[in-house]
Amino acid sequence: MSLTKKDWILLVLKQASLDRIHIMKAAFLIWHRSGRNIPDYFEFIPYLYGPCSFEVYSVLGDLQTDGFILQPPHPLPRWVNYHLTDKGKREAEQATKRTPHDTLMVIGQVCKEISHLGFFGLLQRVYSEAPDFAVNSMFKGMVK
Amino acid sequence: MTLILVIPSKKGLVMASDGQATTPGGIKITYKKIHKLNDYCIWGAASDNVLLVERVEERIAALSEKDKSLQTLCSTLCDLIPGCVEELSIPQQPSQPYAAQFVFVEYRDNPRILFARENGSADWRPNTIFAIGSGVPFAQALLRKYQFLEKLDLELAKVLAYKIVAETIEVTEGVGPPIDVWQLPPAENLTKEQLTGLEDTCTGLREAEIEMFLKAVKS
Repeated sequence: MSLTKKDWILLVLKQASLDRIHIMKAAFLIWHRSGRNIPDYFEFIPYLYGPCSFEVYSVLGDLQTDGFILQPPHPLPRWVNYHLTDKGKREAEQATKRTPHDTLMVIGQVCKEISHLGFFGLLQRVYSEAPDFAVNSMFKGMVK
Repeated sequence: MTLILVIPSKKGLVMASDGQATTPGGIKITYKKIHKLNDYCIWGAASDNVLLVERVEERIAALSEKDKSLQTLCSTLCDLIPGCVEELSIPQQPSQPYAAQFVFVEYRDNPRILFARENGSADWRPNTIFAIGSGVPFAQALLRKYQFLEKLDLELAKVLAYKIVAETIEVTEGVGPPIDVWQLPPAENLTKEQLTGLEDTCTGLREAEIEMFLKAVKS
């Protein structure tokens, strides 16, 4: 049974609690490092901050509405990490069982690499690996 | 309390607004302030009373010729607005009960911006950044540093519009989320996901500013 888009996000958040921009870039790097060939995966476009799939936003919204993830309120307009709820952890565990070992390795490696990176470090990593997705970025001149 | 902002771009127009209104009973509600007139024209209203805006919206929706150009519709709209004020006014209260500003933007072959008031007076505005509502002073202050820019691409105009409305919401009482953004042509309301994309781009710009400031402090 193939993974759904919700499964991919849950598998990423099982590795680490991440904010929206890190989740977006993690989802992209997983696809990129899988030869850009994952069936029924998110479709990315070169957006204003590099690779973006608007479906990631809608899936995050659905997961939050359905109680699989939560995002604590924050007084400042900054990115805030999403966390798995107990329900989300159970679902992520089920998804893990359906996921090939090699794929889990890619997810784990990507999350490990990017989770500690700041915004520019994250963009630098993504743009260096996939410059074709940086063409419309407002930040490409600032990322060296 | 409102901010509605119009930013012309190279081949289009962007209109953005905050999403908070106050009912006649004083209750704050989320409220959509930008509406579609036809495929080439959208309009927004800043008023101290949602009843007037809703009445105008009803009357505009009922227009039989609303697909015509804004130039053609101008006089109809300028009659319609004070007509709605009159319908809602209470004769025993002589003072003007409803204050309102309206902005209509159209992009067919060229951009057109029409500013109208509750008394039906109206004027065509130049094809430059324009705003109405109580959030205007702060928005204008934020926009000063961008006024030397040539016309922006549509994508950048959307980012700038979102950024200005978001920053105005942070500091202006009565101007609140959710932010709404439309683009022309054709008249299109951005989806929730597209708005989140703009939000993340603006958050990135904020991060960039902080990061550059911190680098300057260290050097």
